[in-house]
Amino acid sequence: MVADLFDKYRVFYEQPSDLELARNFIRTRLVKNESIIFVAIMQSSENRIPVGFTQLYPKYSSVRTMQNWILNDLFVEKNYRKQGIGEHLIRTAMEFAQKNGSQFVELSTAVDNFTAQGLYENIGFEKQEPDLNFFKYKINVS
Amino acid sequence: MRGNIRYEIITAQAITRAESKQSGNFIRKSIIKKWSLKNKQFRN
Repeated sequence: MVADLFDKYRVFYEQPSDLELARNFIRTRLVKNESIIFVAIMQSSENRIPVGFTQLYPKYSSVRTMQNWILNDLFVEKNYRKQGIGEHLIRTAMEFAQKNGSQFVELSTAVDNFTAQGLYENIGFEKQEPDLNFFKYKINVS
Repeated sequence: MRGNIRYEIITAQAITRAESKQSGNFIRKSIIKKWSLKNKQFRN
């Protein structure tokens, strides 16, 4: 039910459409209990269809000994945007994190995705300044 | 076509469990949030 949306989300980020890959990826996350996915479903008298989703990945802190969440994916079908669905999904994710004792939900978005940035900032997300105490390093291992 | 559109939020995990049990009732019990938009244009 989510794989089709997940595939469209990847296409939005300029990946080739691959529904089988999307199915396998989502199935694995669910089977291994590695993420939480909230799905928005539209109901009319005739239809009941998924129109958006958000996926959260856990992020653990050894120092704080706690689990926080990365809001990694957010997608709403093009024809259902501007109806508050994305905000409902994000707030649901925030409520979930709060109920589970987390301290924060974090996310990243493209520097030119102004629509998403506006949504996040309206909800209350604050853009983080580069950390003065920690450098972030990254290396490719593939 | 115009009318009320109802939305709900549910976890994918609950959908998967419901699909394996073929139980729509299980999905209804697992709804986390519900809201509706009045007089919206359906765009299917």
